[in-house]
Amino acid sequence: MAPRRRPQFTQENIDQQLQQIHLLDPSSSSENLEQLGPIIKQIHSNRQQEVFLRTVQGLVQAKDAEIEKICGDNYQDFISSVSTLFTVKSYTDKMKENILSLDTSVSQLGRGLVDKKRTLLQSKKTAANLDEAIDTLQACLRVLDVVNRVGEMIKEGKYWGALRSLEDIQSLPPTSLSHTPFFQHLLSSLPSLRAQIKDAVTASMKQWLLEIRNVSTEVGRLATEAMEARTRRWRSRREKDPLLRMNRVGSAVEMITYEKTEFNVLDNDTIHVDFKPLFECIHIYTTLNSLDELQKSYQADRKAQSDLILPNPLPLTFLPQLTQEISGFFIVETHVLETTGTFRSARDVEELWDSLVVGLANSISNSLRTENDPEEYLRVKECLIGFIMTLETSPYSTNSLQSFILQIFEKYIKLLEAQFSRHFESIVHQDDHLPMQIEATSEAETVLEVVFVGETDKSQIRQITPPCTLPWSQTFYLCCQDIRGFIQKFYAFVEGALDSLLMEHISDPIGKRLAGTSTLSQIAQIVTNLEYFQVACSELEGSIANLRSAQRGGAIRLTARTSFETTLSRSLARITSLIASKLDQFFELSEYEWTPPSREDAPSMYLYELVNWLTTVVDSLVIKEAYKDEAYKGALEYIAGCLMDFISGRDIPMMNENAMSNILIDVDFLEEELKRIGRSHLSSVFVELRMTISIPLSDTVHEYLVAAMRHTSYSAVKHKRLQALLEKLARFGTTQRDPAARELAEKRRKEADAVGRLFPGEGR
Amino acid sequence: MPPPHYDFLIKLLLIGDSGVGKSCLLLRFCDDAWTPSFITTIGIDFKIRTIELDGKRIKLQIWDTAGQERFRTITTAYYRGAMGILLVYDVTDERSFNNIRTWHSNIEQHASEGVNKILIGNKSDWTDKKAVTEEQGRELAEELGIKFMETSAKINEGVEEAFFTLARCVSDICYFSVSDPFDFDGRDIKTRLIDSQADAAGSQGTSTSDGSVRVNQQTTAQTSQGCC
Repeated sequence: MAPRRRPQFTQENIDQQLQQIHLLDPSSSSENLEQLGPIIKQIHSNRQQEVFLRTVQGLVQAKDAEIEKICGDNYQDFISSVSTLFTVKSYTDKMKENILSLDTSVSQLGRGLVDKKRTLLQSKKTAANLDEAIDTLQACLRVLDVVNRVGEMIKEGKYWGALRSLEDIQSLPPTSLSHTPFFQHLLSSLPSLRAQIKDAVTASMKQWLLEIRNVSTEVGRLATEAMEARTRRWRSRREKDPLLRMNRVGSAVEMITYEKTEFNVLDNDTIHVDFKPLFECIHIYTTLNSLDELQKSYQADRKAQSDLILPNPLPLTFLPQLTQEISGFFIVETHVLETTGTFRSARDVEELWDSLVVGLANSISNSLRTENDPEEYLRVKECLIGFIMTLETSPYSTNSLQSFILQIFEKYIKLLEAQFSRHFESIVHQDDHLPMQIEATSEAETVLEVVFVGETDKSQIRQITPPCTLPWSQTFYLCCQDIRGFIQKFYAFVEGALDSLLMEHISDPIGKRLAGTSTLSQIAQIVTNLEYFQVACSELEGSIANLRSAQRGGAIRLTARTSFETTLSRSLARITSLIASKLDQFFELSEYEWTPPSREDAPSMYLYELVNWLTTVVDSLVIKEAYKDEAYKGALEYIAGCLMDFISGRDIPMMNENAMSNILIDVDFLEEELKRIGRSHLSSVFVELRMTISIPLSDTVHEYLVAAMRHTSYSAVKHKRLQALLEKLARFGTTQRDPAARELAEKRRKEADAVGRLFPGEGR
Repeated sequence: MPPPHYDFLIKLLLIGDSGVGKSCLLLRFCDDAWTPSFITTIGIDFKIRTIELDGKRIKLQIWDTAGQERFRTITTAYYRGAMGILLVYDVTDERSFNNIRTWHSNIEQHASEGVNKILIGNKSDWTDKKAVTEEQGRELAEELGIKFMETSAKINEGVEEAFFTLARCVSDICYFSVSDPFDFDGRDIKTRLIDSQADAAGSQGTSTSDGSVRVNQQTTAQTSQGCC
């Protein structure tokens, strides 16, 4: 083939191809091959391998020679630098070793230090824990101490203190302790501690109840004796002083007298009842909010105790002791009721009282069922009367007992009748129907005292000289004697009943009707009736005493008379107050002018009507003259009081001299009227008013300020009122334009101050 | 004493035979109460009630007289002070009705001239015992030129109306006289009315010199048709 088909490789071609190979990325063999591939293929296809290899050989040789040349120039330096590098390397190694060993030793040292530090921290933590533990323990100890003390306090009976301590624990300020299980446990144990306190205080109260039960009889005995002594003392005093005759034991006058020597049955030389345990118990229960519980249990306990008082059957000989015990029981109850606020209700106590009284009545009835001796009935009645008397001042109702006494009375009368009917029959039966023989005058008198015969017969018999015979035989005499005996026994029973009948069923109801009666004429009638009742009491006393034989018993005193006396005083007071309320209405319409421009010369119109009304009403009252005078006095005192209140009271702020002069005109009129109706002596009620007004009117305050003058001429005047009056005048003066009036006002003001500075103890 | 809480004070008077129920009317009107028991009034008594009329507070002082003859002297003394008079009879008691003329002439004689009056037939509830008819009562009232009303204090019928009617008549006159600017001299009407009575005591019949009496008469004349 043509050269063209078999091209010759020139040097340039091979270089170019090699160049291509060179340009191949030496780092990537695969690509080299890929790119090498076509070259080799071209070479191969051109069958120029030999040439190409020779060329490549030549190139390799050229390059080797080049390398050799380069190496031949610089290898000495290279060798020396290699050895230098070796040296450097060995130093480096050594240094590395040193550093390693240093590092090891440092780390060894550090480990020790860290260990120590760790230990130290641990120790510190432990110490802090210990401190904390000690603090906590101490706090616990304090609380525990308090809790412990609570126990001791309970033992010592200091319940209140114990309770307070518990409260203190509960209200401790929150501390670290507050959240400990210990404290929670403690808190949870508080209710049980409270329960302990409650139990302890309840136990002490129950013990007290037991003691109270044991002393009840003694208290009752002392009360009964004290009441008897009181009655005796009052009776003897009453007999000495006629003024006191109308007053009974328990009346206002007697109460005042008794106050001085008042005997406390619960606290005296013989006995001292201490209510502290009860009060303490109430206090604790109140604090624990369970007073209800205590109230119920107390009532139940007292009920049980009261039930135990009555034995079944009841021996009548035991009755006095029994009534004393009941008295004691209720004296204690009254005291508890009075001293414990709302702890006991009057109703609870009444409940006890009512049931006990019913029980007592039943027991007595049972015991009396087979009793036929009237004396026994009498003793029971005496005992019950004493019982009622002892509880006289207590709030318990004795009505059922009173009616029980009446029941006994009925039976007593029946027995008495039976007894006396036998007596009478045997007297009649045994009489020999021969005239009674009299041996001596004294004997005749004895008989005459007994028999019921007319005065003419008596005087006839007295004229005969003994020995002689009487017109009647034994029957009449003995029957008369027995009739007296019967009556005596009858009234021995009746006395107390009659008295209470008169008091509770006549005098008291009259007193109650008073309140609803506002018609003066009706009250006047009540006054008169009461006076008759008082007389009737004396008559009754006399006739009962006459009916009883003279030997037995002293004078009879119906205490009802003093009750009538009291009701009468109340009636008179009611008259006075009714009149006063009417007078009030007059004053309501009085329409005084307090700063009039001129003085009047005639009295106020309302006074005409007032006086007219007063005289008409009081004079028409059908009562004793003395009572009328009292009514007038009361009315005039009230009028004077009202007028005084005008000039010195607070209602009217200012006043002038004209107004005061007008009041004096009114007083003149009233005094004139008093003279007209013949009661001038009542004018004295106006003395203070007159004097007080006259001081500023006559401008003599300076005189009043001189002690001697004050005592002689103005003794009735009271500083405060005069001062108030002067102040009113001063206040009026300052509202005036007139300089003279203002000057006077200033003077009055100074005078008021001066009067105000006077010693208040004097002239009050 | 605080100043009075009222605008006018009116004094009324109850007259009539004993037992016609004057005190009962008063008790009903003032205390709204009733009592069956017959309690003779001793001499004179009064009660007070404050009422409201046309926005004015009027204090009524009502005098109750004893009907019994023995108190006649005492009771007539109160006629002059009265601004209004209730003549009371008992509808079951003809005599008390017949006596009204006597009572009326007593008023003419002793009371202030032109005083307001009203005729009251009390116990109107007691129908089966009625002895005086309402017609008779009305006729008499017309004859006397005064108002008439039947009442029962027991069942509280007509009582309020009776007192209110009379009070209204009196208060109209009071109001008239106070509102008269020429008559108002700064003193209270109450005082002047009382003064007039005091004056009248001194100079009977010639009391026209006093302003209030004149006014009284005038108004009575003017209102006699429509009022009491």
